[in-house]
Amino acid sequence: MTQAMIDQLVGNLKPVPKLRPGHLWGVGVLIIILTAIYVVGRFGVRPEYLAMAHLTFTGNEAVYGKPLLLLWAGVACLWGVARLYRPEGQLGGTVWAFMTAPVILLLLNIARQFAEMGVIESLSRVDDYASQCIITNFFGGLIAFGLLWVLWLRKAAPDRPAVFGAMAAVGLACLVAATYSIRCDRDAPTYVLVWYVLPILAAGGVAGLMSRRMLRW
Amino acid sequence: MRAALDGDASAYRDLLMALRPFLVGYFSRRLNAGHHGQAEVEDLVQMTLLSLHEKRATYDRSAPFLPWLMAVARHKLIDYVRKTKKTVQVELDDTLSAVDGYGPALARRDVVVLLAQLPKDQARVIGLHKLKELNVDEVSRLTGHSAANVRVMVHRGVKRLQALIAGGAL
Repeated sequence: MTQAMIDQLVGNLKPVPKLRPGHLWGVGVLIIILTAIYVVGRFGVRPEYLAMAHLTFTGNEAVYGKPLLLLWAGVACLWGVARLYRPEGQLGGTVWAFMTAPVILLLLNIARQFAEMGVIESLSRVDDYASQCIITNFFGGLIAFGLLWVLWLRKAAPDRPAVFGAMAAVGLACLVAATYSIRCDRDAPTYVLVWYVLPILAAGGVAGLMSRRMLRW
Repeated sequence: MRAALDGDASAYRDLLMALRPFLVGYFSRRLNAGHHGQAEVEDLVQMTLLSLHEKRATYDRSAPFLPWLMAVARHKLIDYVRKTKKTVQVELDDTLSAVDGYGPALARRDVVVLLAQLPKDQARVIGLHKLKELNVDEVSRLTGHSAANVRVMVHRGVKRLQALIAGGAL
C-alpha cells in the first residue's frame, strides 16, 4: 500500500516554488490599498488628514495614534503568521512582545481616559455612529481573510490551524480598521475598544473556527 | 528534498523510500505498537508522506530537512491521537534520538546545512575539531590559525550554531 502511494506521489511530482512570507506582506499591502479605495470613495477622509496636505497638523495625538496603533497590531499579527506558517514554526519572544505592546498601549489609554473624565463620561463616548465601524472592521476583516486564504494561507502548514487562522484574521482586520480610521473621527479609547477591537476579535474568532477545517492538513 | 522540490523524481523516490523505515520506527515507539498496531503505524506513515508531498512548498531550502519532517510527523500523530482518542506520550519539545533512527548519517546532513551558514574558515575549524575530533593543536597546524584563535573560533561558531537552531534554522 505504502509502496503504491510512494509510486503515485513520485509520479505526480512537479517542481514547486517555496511558499514565501513576502507574499503575505504583499497581500497585506493590497488589502490596505483596496480598503483605502473603498473608504475614500464611499466616506471620504476626515478633515485633519485633508489639512495635512497643507502641512497643518492637529495637536490631538489620537488622530494619528489610532491608525498607527491598529497598523502596529496588524503588522505584529501578520509577523506572527509569517513565523507560524511552517510546521516547525515558532512565535518567539520578540513577536510576542511586538503583539502585546499595542494591547498594553490601548489599555493604558483607557485607564488615562477613565482617570481624566471618569468612567461614566468615558463610557458615554461609546455612542452612536458605530454601525459603519462594526461592518467595516468585522466584515472587512473576514473578506480580507478570505482573500488571503485564496492567495496564500491555504498553502501553509501551521501546527495549530485555528490559532494561525485567528491570528491572520485579527491582523488583517487591524489593517482594515487602521485604513478605515482615516475616515472615522471618534478617537476615544473606549470607543476604539468597543467598536474596533471587539469586531476585530470577533472576526478573529470566526476565522479561527473556520480555520480548524479550512487550514487542516 | 531540495532536488525533489526542483522536480527530480528519482531523488524524491529515494527520499520517500529512506523515510519510510524511519517513520515506521518513530510512530511505532510513540504508539507503543506491537504486531497488532502495525496497520495504524502504516496509516500514519502514509498520512505523513502524503502531507510531506502536499505541503512541501513550506520546506525552507536553506534549513535542515529533518526538523521540518519531524514537525510534520508530530502534527500527524497528534491529529491521529485526537481523532482516535488514544493516549500517547508526545513531549512538547519532542526531539529525535538515535532510537528513532536519527543516526550519524541523518544528523550529518543537518550539520552540513548549518555549517554552510557560517564563514568558510570557521566552518572548517569546527568541522575538524568537532566532527573529525582533532585536538586544538592539530587543527591549528592544519589551518594555520593559532591555538588560541582556534578555541575562539570554535566557541563563537558553536554559539552561532546554537543561535541558528534557536532561531528556527533547525
